[in-house]
Amino acid sequence: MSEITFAEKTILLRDANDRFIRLCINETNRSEGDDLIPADIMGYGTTIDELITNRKEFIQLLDRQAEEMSKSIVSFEHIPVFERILNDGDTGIFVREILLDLKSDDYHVNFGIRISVIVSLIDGAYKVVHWHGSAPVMSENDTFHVKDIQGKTEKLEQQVKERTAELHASLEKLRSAQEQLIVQEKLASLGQLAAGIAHEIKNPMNFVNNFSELSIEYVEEIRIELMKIPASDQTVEISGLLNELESNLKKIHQHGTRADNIVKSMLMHSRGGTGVMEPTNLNGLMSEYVNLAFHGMRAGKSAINSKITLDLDPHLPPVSLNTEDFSRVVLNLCKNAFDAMREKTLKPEMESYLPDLRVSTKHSGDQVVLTIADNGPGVPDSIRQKLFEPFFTTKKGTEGTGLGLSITHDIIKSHGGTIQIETVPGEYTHFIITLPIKQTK
Amino acid sequence: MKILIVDDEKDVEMLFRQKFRKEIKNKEIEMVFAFSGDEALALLEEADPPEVMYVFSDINMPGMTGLELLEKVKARFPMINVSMISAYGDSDNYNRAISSGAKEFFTKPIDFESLKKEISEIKG
Repeated sequence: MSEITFAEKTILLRDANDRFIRLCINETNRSEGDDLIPADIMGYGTTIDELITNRKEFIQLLDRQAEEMSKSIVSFEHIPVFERILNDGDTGIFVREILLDLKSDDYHVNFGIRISVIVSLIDGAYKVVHWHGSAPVMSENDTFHVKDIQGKTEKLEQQVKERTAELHASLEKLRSAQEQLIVQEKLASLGQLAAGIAHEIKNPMNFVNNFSELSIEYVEEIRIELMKIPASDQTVEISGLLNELESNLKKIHQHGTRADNIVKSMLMHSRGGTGVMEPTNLNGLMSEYVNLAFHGMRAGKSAINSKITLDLDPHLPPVSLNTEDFSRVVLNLCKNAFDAMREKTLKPEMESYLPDLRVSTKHSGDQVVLTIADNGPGVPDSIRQKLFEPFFTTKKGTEGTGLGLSITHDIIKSHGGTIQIETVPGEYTHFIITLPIKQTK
Repeated sequence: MKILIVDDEKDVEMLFRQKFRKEIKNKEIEMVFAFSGDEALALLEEADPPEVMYVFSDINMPGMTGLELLEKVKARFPMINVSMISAYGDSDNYNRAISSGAKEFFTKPIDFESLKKEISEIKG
């Protein structure tokens, strides 16, 4: 042995260390490092109970590890940390970091353990006189800290799941906000266009109405003149023609007035900045205008019997409102509800149907939620998207301008609020308005 | 009493002449028409002092607007009454008209009854 150089001894020591470590982590066959283990091997494993004082205990430790690792696919990475050769090349102190990657059906963990080994040449053979394993976690009887790390992994996975769900939710919110924005942009540009057209149409419409009105006056004057000449077949004929003429002129005036009303409603759209926002007793406004809408409906041509239920939050603080505009919202929505419910009463199979309008307010944080709910025929999916578009109407002929909900939408928007519809065809329609209590400008 | 109506819509003349046909027939009032601000000023300057006692002007007109005409008429002929007639009854137009010396502000569609009342008060 005396011919062996220091460098050669170093290589042999390193080899002994390497074989021992691979044995420790069950990376190699047991027989590969068996010669390195003396009867009185002494060392510490990575857990408190892993105090080894003899060869038998050491073998037991290896068996236990082999059992644990048989359940996992394991890969190793060796990183040398420290090395010192002492005693003229007969003793080596080695420290090595082992990165393990354990993967099973239940878990997948990555962690590092550090193994310090003292190898000495004893009686012509390399033996491990001391070893020590350490890991950066506290663990009682789990060499590879699978449970501990698995727990951490599960916690992390749980957190990732939660985060992912949060992200999904906010993505969904973003999407719906974007959709709303697009709809609002569309409505805004339509509103502007409508207002522009309205102004251009207003003047010609005024002429139509004024001249038809004048012409009706003329017909009346001609009749008076006609009375002054003796009655004959001709006067009877003229009189009949005058009646026809007058009835046509009245039609012109009637439809002109109708167009004028549409134009006026359209101009309401673009009319801005005239109302004043002020703290308002919303409950008071609601009961006043729901009542007004009800009596308006009852006084109208096609009155229905409807139950009215008010459920107003007594703790509602004053809400910043432009009362003139907002009362229109209440009137519009109530009128729509009555119209819808009337339609349902007309169906022959609906004899036992009782219209029911429910209006509620609710204080919710810095917002107030206002619901106007009817048990009418609901809104089919196919038209729900178009509901707030100007000129969209399901009402026949002269009954609606198609501007009510569009104006309602704009007014709520100008209050910094939102309006949403919840509906089940055949069952109900709920309009849900959310308003900020204080205006932030 | 001579009244000047200023509006870029020519049919306004026909409408006013028919609406006031009785008053015109009875020679209670005389109506003249101008279809722009310039035309209106030229018409007012024809006679000195002008025969027109009351000007009713539209606001939205090509060229000189009704509000500009109002200021010019008030500067040159402060004794003539000027009232505005506009489809744009917003507060900006209203405030500017009144502060420039407009007597009244009528919105379109014109309520001819109130217009007649206004004219008879001036005559009175």
